[in-house]
Amino acid sequence: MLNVAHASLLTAIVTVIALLMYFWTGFRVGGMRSKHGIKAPAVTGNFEFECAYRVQMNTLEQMVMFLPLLWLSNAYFMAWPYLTGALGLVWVVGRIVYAIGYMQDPSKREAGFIISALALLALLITTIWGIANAWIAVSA
Amino acid sequence: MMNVAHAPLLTAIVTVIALLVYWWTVLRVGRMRGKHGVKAPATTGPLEFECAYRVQTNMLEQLVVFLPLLWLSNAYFMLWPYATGALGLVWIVGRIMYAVGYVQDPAKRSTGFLISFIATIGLLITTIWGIVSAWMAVSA
Repeated sequence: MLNVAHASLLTAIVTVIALLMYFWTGFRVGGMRSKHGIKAPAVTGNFEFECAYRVQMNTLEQMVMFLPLLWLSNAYFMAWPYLTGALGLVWVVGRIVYAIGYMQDPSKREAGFIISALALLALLITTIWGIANAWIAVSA
Repeated sequence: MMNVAHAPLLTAIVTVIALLVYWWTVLRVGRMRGKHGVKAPATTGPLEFECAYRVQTNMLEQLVVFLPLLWLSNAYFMLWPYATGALGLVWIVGRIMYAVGYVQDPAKRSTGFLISFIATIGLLITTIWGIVSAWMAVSA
């Protein structure tokens, strides 16, 4: 049976999945380098390459917010312990939709971006909620 | 004598060293800006500057994977507690080789990249192993 101890393990699993998803965006940049002959250190020169590069950079930009909020929410949000990991999974799905859409056409990047932005916003709320509760508890 | 309590301290020391290496790549970009007169916000110009810039960016891209895996492995992988810190040290050696090689000639970046990549895969394996063990322990 699942119990509350599994919740932080779910957060750890979501972290590993998020890192693998990011790995994939990085590998794709490497693949585009050889496909289109874009030699390092250049990061411009071909549309498809530039899309793959921007996907990787945007994922990096978002991960720097996602991972701290995911683990703060894991540490402080106790109302529904599995919610943190579930929101993390939604974020990963949004990022995959973003990455695939962007490569088809940059204008198709929005749906995935919005899904992951909403998940991030929800993690911000659970984190603030959790910190406020912890603050009240230690002040009592 | 060393005991198991030293293992997370080794992880902490490795983290500080990794951040110092990253700092060094940042400072090098600043120096190259001065040397070649590349004024901010430009990130293109002479090859030596662009190589230094790509080294820093790539360090950032890799750190965002490395630090979470290092600390997840530290938290969950209990089989050989020092393996986590040791893999972290290998990663750092690889990153230094990458940074030094890249600025000499972009083609010389592969060896260091490969070494740190293998260390990252090692940390991925210890992390997954650790999470699976922890999952079985809390499910028992």
